[in-house]
Order: sequence, then structure tokens, then C-alpha cells
Amino acid sequence: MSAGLAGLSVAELGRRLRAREVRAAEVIEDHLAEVAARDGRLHAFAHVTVDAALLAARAADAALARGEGGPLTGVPIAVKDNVAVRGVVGTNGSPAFAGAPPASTDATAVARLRAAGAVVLGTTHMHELAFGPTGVNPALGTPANPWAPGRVPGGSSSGSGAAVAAGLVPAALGTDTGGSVRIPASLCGVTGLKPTYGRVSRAGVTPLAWSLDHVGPLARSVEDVALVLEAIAGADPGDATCARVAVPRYAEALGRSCRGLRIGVPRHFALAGVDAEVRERFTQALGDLRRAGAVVRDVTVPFIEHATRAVGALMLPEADGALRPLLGARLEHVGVEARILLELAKLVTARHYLAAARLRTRLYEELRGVLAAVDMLALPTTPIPAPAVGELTVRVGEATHGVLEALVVFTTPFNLTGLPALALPCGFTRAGLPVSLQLVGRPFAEPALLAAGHAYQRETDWHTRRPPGS
Amino acid sequence: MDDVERFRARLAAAGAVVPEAIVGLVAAQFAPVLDTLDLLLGLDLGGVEPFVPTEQLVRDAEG
Repeated sequence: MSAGLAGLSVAELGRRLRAREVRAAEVIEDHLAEVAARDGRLHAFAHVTVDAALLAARAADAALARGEGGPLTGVPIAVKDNVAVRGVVGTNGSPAFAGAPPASTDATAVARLRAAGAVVLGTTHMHELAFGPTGVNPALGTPANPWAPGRVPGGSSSGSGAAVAAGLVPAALGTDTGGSVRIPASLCGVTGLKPTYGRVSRAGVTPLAWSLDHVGPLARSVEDVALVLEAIAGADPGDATCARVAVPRYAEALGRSCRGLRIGVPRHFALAGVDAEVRERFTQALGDLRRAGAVVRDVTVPFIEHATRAVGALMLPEADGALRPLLGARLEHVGVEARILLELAKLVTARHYLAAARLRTRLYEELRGVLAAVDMLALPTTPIPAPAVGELTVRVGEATHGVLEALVVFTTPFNLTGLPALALPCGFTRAGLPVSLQLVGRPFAEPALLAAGHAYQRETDWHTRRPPGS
Repeated sequence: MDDVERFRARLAAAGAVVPEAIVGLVAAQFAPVLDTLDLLLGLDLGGVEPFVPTEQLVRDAEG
């Protein structure tokens, strides 16, 4: 019988564990029982590492008994299935990898979580090869959106978003190449962070597009995201793009208020082609931030509307370059959607790629100028709530948009420029679907973003709402 | 030549293979997106060079 520990936050579990009010073994057993009872319907987990998790829980209890351990010691966490977990076959969401050998080592981010005492509960389902924003995976199964079965969970970190939203784990790792942490965070009503490019090592992560890939946490609160980020951030000789920038104590930044915080809204972009209810919730969130003391004003960001096509021009050939050699003869086992995208990469020319790389510099310079005048940007994370599984187009106002393009339009600019971006729940549609606010900061300014997000979550209770049955 | 035919010709020119049974669906889904890539070629971006995030982001973080 469940002891009611599943559903608690990282921070609360850590507090109870360090106070010895509960043992890590109980915490892990309780979460494993929830997964066993509910994941058959949810389909968030690709692989549950029962024995390894119970063993790690005993080690965590021993450490805690010695008076050692930090905020993550004994806390369960899930890992997206394109991030290597020692002893587990990483499928990358694809039947093409189903027969691959288990990973011989952990990805750096996973190794750091273990070093911080976290207990890996298993790996989570994803959009095949991380190559899509819906999380729909015909071959290996699509996680349910805990708020509305029949609606997509968002992707590509679909299982991570669904598992966290449903309370099967308090936090999970995802990866984000065009929005793949923030989109499931938005559609599943949880908090997700794409850190600055180079903040978290990508060593041990199956690449999709080298210059756009990021690793980031999903959790149910900004506080929990901060605790996970603190464990996984920092330089790594295993990843040449990982920055040698000191890692702050993110959790210590959380007490700051929003008073005087300058927030810019690129209204010309952020409120164009947005669902009416998303617009209402976003506007309400800006009002909440104003009431908390922030100064909100409109800003203009030239070239931002070209970000998605630039990401396409970079992602398709980079994915082709990264994945074809990895797949080799297994390419024939890749699903139709991903195989077609790899074929379409052949239509992207070197001129497209270079124009996109130059646009990237230009957009970054424009954003740097704007972020000198304001502390951060605010925009919706996605312009639409979760679409139905199988829906290819969506009607917003008078216009019809492709679902794929609509889901990524507000997330791609920050993969392109590498700026940190935080997605957090800011309300629900009348049909009960989550809506998400995105805050975007200066390079390596995660402390400021997390502080603003935490201040927002002190003023609102959207992040505390739970889907039915969780 | 209709949109699907144009898309089919573009695929052939690039050596890309899409199963014939779904070429219409793929054209409807992706041809407009691919067409917009050409807009990148016409942008006046000034004299900027390609982005190097590991240099530019760290430099700006250090102020």
C-alpha cells in the first residue's frame, strides 16, 4: 500500500529524508509501487530499474545515517531515454535501438545526479530520436497527457513530462533541441528549464543537433528545478561545448522578490497567432508579475520570427550528420516520420545552413541589446494547449497552422541563441488543459530566471494543481 | 505542375526518397516549411558571421 510519498516535491522529500522522518528505501518503494500501479495507463516509463533503484536507496540510507547527503540524497528521478543510464538499453524512442547493448557508463548528467545521491528510477519514453514536439510515438507508444488522455503530452521529452505531472517521480531529465523540455512542461502543466547552452554537459546524450541540443530538468516547481540544476551543471571535459563558468548555488537565489524586475514582452511576436485562452492566461500572468512588483513593458526583437526556419535549416542537416552514422543499417527500423525528416535534410543546402548560422548571430545580438534594457523576456511557452493525438493542423483565430510549427514557434529562438528559458504553469483553459509562461534570461543568468519563477510560484498556485487520478 | 509534382521534382533533384504512397501527405506537411527556408537567403543580416555559442555566451556572461 502506498505510503503517500509519491507526489511530494524534491525539496520536501529531501527534507524528510535528512530529518530521518522517512527512509530512502520507503521513498523508492513507494514510487516504484506508484509506477507499477499507474504506468500501464500512462506509459511514461520505457524501463524501470527496480533492483538498481532499491540498491541505490540502501546506499542513500547509509549515507544519511552517517549524517551525510544533500538535498537530492534518496530522491527518485527519471531520465529521458536518450540520456545514457548505465546498464540500460537506451532506445532513443526508436525500435532501431531496441537490440542495442546496454549503456556501459552513465551520461555525465546522470553520474552527477547519482553523485548527489539521487536514485534513478528508470528511463522515460520520448518522441522517436527526439525528432518532434508532440511526443507521439507509433512504434514504442505515446505517453498519455495526465490532464487529458487523448491529447499529446508534448515532446520530445514526453515521458518525463507525463511522469512528473502524474506524480510518478518528483523530477526528470529531458533534452531540448527545439523546445523538447519546455513543450512537454507546457502541455503537461509542470516546470521545465532549458539552461544556457554549455551549462549542462551533453556527454552521454544521443545527439540530435549538436549546436542546438541542451539537457535540462523537469519538476513540479521552480525550487525543485533549481535543486536538480545545481547537481547537473558545470564544466565537463567529456563535452567540448560545456562552459567553464562557475556554478552558483541556484537554490539560494530563490528568495529574491520580483520588485523592480524589468520584464520585456515581445508583443509583436509573442501574441501573434496565439490561442485566445492562452493569450488570456498569459496576460493574467503578466498582471500577476506586475502585482509582485515587476515592471512589464513591450520590447521589439527584430528577426525573431525567422528563428524556427533557422532551427530547421540547422537541425535537419545536423541530425542527418549525427544520426545516420549512429543508425547505420538500423536506419530501416526507424519510423516513417523520422526517416522522412532525415531524407528532407537532403533538401537543405549549405547556403541555407550558413544563412541560418548567420541569422543566429544577428538574433543573438538583437536579444543581447534588448536584454541590456530589461532583465528578462516573457512569452507563452506554446501558443496552443495540448492538441489531440493525430491532429496535424490547428485553428487559431482565422488562421490554420501546422501543429508541429505551432508547438515550437516560441521555443526555437532560445535554442538558436542558447539563452536560458524557463517554462512554468500559468493557468488552464476552460477545458482543463495547462497553459505555460516562458521566461528567458541573459547567458548563464539561471539564478535570476529561477528567482523570478519562484517568486511567481509564491504568488500563484497553478504549479500545485494535480491532474485527475494522480 | 501542381504543388505535389513540384515537391516530387525537388526531392528527386536532392536525391531524397519518400515513399510514393505518402508523398502527397509529406508535401502538404513539409513543403511549405521547406519553401520558407529560402527566405533565409534573402535576409539583410549585415556583416555578421556564423554564431559560436561557446564563445559568445561565455564572453557575455563574464561581462
